[in-house]
Amino acid sequence: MNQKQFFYLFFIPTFVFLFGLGTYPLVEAAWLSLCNLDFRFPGTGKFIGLTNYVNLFLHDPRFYNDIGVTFEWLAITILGSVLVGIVLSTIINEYVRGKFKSVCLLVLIIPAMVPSVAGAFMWRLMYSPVVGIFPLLLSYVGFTTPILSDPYLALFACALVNIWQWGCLLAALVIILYEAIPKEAIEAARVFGAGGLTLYRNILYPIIKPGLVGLIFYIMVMSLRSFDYIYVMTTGGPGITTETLDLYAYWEAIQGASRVSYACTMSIIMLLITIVLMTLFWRFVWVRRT
Amino acid sequence: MVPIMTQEQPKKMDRRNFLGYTIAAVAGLVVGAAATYTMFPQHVTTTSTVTTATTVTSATTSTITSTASAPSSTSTSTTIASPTIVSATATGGTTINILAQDTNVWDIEDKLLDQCYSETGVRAVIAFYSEDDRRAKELLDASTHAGAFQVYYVDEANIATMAANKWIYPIQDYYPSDGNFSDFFSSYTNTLSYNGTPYGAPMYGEADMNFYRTDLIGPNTSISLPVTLDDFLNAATKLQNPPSIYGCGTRGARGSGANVWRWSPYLVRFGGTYLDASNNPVFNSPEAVAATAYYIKLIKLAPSPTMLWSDVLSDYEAGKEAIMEDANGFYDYVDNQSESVAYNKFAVSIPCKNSDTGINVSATSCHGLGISTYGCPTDALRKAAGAFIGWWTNTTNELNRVNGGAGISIARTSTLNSSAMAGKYPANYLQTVSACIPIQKLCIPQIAAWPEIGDYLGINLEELFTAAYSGTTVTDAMIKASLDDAVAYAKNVLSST
Repeated sequence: MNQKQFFYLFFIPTFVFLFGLGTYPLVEAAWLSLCNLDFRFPGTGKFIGLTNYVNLFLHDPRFYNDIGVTFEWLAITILGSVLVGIVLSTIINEYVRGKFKSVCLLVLIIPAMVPSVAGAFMWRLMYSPVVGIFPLLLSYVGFTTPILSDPYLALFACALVNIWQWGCLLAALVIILYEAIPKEAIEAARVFGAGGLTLYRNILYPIIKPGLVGLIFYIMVMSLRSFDYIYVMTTGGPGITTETLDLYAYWEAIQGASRVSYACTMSIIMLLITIVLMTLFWRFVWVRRT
Repeated sequence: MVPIMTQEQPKKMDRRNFLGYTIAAVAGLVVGAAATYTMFPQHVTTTSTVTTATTVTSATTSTITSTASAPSSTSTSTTIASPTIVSATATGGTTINILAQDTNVWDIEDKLLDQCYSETGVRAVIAFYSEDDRRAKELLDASTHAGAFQVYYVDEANIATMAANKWIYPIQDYYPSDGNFSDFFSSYTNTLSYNGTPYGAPMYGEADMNFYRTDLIGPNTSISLPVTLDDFLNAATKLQNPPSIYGCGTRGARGSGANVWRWSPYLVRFGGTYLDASNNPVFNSPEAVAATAYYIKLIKLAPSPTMLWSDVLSDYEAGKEAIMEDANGFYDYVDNQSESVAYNKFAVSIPCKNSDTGINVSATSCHGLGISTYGCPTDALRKAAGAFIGWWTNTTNELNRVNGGAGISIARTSTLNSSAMAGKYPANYLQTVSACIPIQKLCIPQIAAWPEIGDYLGINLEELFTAAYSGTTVTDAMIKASLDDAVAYAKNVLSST
């Protein structure tokens, strides 16, 4: 047996297992979205066609609110993470040298190592109007509204936790990308008078762009993981101002009602939206590359 | 190992490497299988016949859990977490699986499982889950008729669903005859009843009481102890001095065990009700509007309009709330010298009555144990489950809980009057509990659709609370419109069930 055959021998069973594990629930979810399964009531689970989809689109205003919140969440967290990542990495790359740079890298990676639920609880405490640090600091400038109770601020407050985790990680990874750039290219650019933002805009960013695009794609995937943060910090409140579609699906399937089929319908819609967004992003990147 | 994409011809693998990798792979499989086996409850067996209970299939579990996380393959899974399992070390006898919620009462009792076996012949295997996971797991196990568990941990939120679908047996059919079932607080047995029949044996009970700061309210201060709701509001208003201290703390957040649980006793005290005699939702009545308007006044005196019970408790422990009306279960936390600023500076009293209606109520909630229908297909298993439940909730073990420091959640009258309780808790607390007994009542409706209706109502209430807290003038018309919306939703749910 050669190494290639050995590799296939151990890879194929794992691949089949993982493929089945991922595909079966998806197929089952798609089927359940065409039924009326409700665990509370025996005798449900019959095929009803597209009724769930019709009810979702035509008779459920909460669905549209949650779609809007989901897109708002994605926009805030992706843009925020990318902005924080690029600004932080640029500042550190430009002004920090030697061992202190390694320390900065370590500090930037630590937030990503914190489990998202633990991070959400930490930040919830920091937002607490009684014992939190943020309300204390904001009170000095006259702002006393409880942050997580404000319908306009709550989503941003939750998104800040996501940005803290993944924006800092992006900054660390971009710094590593910068360090992979040949020094000669940078020195040559400086000799020709390039400096500051010009250097980054015309030299460094184009060089790291392929890697940066991949990292941004990763950030987009991480931004889809809104459930942990919002569930811990606001449970979708105040009202439904921070309720994303996956939280609504969880509420329908497990916490409030037990309308599994209706929740599956939302999950399939979310999956389709995710596929469309990722495809559009990838086509955008691919077209610009070619 | 050479990557697949190399242009080089793959090299032959020598025997030593092949054996090494194979042994490592097999070892990994064995470790994984062993870990998986320990995560799931063991099969039910009896001494006379081997009975293998069907378990919730992993396919079913993964289907249900994965659908809730289907948006993306990398999205956070909302799977039910793996349980913590404890069991007796003895072997033989009848083994039963218990689906339980991890509370402090089990910390004391799970050490006694071997004693349970010696006294009852029942070997217990307990799987602990968090509250939401426990409810979800019970629903899955019962609705799919899997029957992996013989005993369920039930509470006021799901007892109606379980009993209406006949997923649990009436508890008194199998509770030991010498178990003195009548010794339980009637409010707790009523809480775990459906249509007048008890389905759960109480083991953890809570009832509301007022917690007030004795350095701010009471005999040695300028504010007398509140007796009516108006007194309560006046006292809280006078003491409101943020950020040093807030007048009161109360739950405002949506969700299970949150604002609706605290709003419901006010609904009752203002003369309102959830359902009329024909089971039509009527919680948008003028009484409900008045109750909500009052509750909003309390919310505006709280640190935040979206507090959970943990926030209310921690803020009281931090000395930031002058008075709160909440579950008696908070007592041990507040009376903790190392963690509570309010230690030695607080006392309790019965909830305040509504001076207009004369109604007073101490809202109860109760957790207990019930016998699974599909988990106990044979009479022998039902008797074994009943024997375990009877042993777990008997007087001796409840006194063990008191002596072990978990006496706040007692469910028996005899325990309340015992010397063990008198030795552990001050007279003020015991007298307050005794005074609350006549007015204890479950304030939420016992219907299968309650979790869904309650959650929706909670969302609407939270919107009102946050609007009021932010300075918006919330009128009675706005409250009525919000409650009308919740009632319309409830009617829709009830008509479809």
